[in-house]
Amino acid sequence: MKTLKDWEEIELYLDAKLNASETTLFEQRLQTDSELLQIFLEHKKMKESLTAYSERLSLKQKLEKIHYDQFVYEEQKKDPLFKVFWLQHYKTMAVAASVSLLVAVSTIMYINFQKVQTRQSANFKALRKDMDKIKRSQNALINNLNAPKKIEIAPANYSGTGFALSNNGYFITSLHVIKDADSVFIQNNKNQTYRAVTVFRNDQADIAILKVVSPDFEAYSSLPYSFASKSGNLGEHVFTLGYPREDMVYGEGALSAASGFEGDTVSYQVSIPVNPGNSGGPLLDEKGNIIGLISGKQTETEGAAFAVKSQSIISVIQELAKDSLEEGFKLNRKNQLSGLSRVNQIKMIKDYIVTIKVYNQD
Amino acid sequence: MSEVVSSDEEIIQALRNNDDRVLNVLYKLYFGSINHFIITNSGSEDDAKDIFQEAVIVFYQNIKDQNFELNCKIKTYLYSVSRLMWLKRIKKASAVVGKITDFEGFISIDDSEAALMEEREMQFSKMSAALAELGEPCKTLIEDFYVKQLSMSQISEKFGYTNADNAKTQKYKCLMRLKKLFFKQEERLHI
Repeated sequence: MKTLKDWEEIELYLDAKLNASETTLFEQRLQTDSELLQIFLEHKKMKESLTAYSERLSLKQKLEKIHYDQFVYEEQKKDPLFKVFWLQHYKTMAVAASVSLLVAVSTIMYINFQKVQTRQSANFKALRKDMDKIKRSQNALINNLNAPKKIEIAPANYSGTGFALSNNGYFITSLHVIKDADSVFIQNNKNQTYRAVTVFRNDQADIAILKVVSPDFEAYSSLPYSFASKSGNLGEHVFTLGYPREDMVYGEGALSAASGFEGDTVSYQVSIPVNPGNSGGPLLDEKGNIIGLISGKQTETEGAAFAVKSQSIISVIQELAKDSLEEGFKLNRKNQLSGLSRVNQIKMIKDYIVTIKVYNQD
Repeated sequence: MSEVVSSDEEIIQALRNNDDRVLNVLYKLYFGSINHFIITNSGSEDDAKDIFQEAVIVFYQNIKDQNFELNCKIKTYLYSVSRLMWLKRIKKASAVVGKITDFEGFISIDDSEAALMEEREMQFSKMSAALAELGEPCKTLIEDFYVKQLSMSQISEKFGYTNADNAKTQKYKCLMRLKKLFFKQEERLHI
């Protein structure tokens, strides 16, 4: 086996890096040393092969690059339309994209903002609805009687209207009239006052049923009016009697809608001018049937009052007749008013319509 | 440049002067027709690229040989070589060779030249195989020295040898192994 030094010499010889004397010496060795010659020839072949290999490889690489530059790259450059279009218009496109993004974002924000606002206004409306109810019960329809009355020894805090349900001392009025009452008195048109207790209340229909407890109360003979079991018709002439002030006040109008405040189906809307104190008054049709009970009015709308439907009253009474009313009563079904003139009708019923006087601590 | 060097004589002269830029000209002028030929005769664009590059390499190596005499146009020569190689390749792939559609006149490459082409190709694949079998770091070391022609000091720096002598020893060992592998390849091919 030849040494590393021999190899180096072979390489130098093949690269023609030996000087003249060294070359001669080496060639002489090749002729005498057959082993060296063998190695030399092998190495020569290897080296030629390596050189050819490297040449071919570098040529191949060059050609690959040319191919890439001329075809692949060119194609990418040409790469048609899209790239050209992109290069020409990317600025415009960027601006357009930003604008549309901005528009989209601001639209979404605006819509959300609107939604929030709508929700808020809805809440506000709902709140106002509550406020309306409060107003209705406190301001609109309860007459504040803080001012002392000559007749009364002790002035009532609030007053409303009520009317007889039966001949034996049951009266009906609006619940909001007697709400929070310490004591309730009823006063007829002859200024006779009787103490009453609340025997039933229904928040939903806003009605309360009172029973006179004063022993001196004289029972009525019979009620002149009856309670309508059918709904009233739109446009029907209706009237009411009530005590928005000391004297009884007559009001008339028409049945203007089959539902009450904000679509309340237990009530009618009627076009009767009502004032604080009218609450609890009867709503009668032309024949003198009770078709409802005045319960309130809408503050924002002129001439829109509401009345609880007589059917609601009837169903509530039927419900409660079972247990809570110890004596019990029957609703009058016989109407004595039909065919009478309005004036005569009023004469007949005015005794049955009373002022409800409410006292409380406040 | 492509405007300046376009005649066959100029191209040959440029190649002999190691002006590799002329390869670009060859590509531009002649790839198209060979691409067309290969694709028409059931080849792909990649096949066309391979065959054309092989043909250019053959041409290049022949031109480097001062004894070589080109007795036709470069275009015809490249086409003929490509055609021959493509036929060989499709014959290898399938027993039946359909009708070959030609677009150019071509010369017949004589057997000795074809044999030379084949020998060079074989040497190349033998060396590729041997180098692949050699593994790292010997493969890179050998390639750095013989292909990239880096100096021994550059190589020792690159491979982290303490001095050029160490690198030389390492190269010697690698070369010994490569020689064994290379001649083993040769035997294998001869069998």
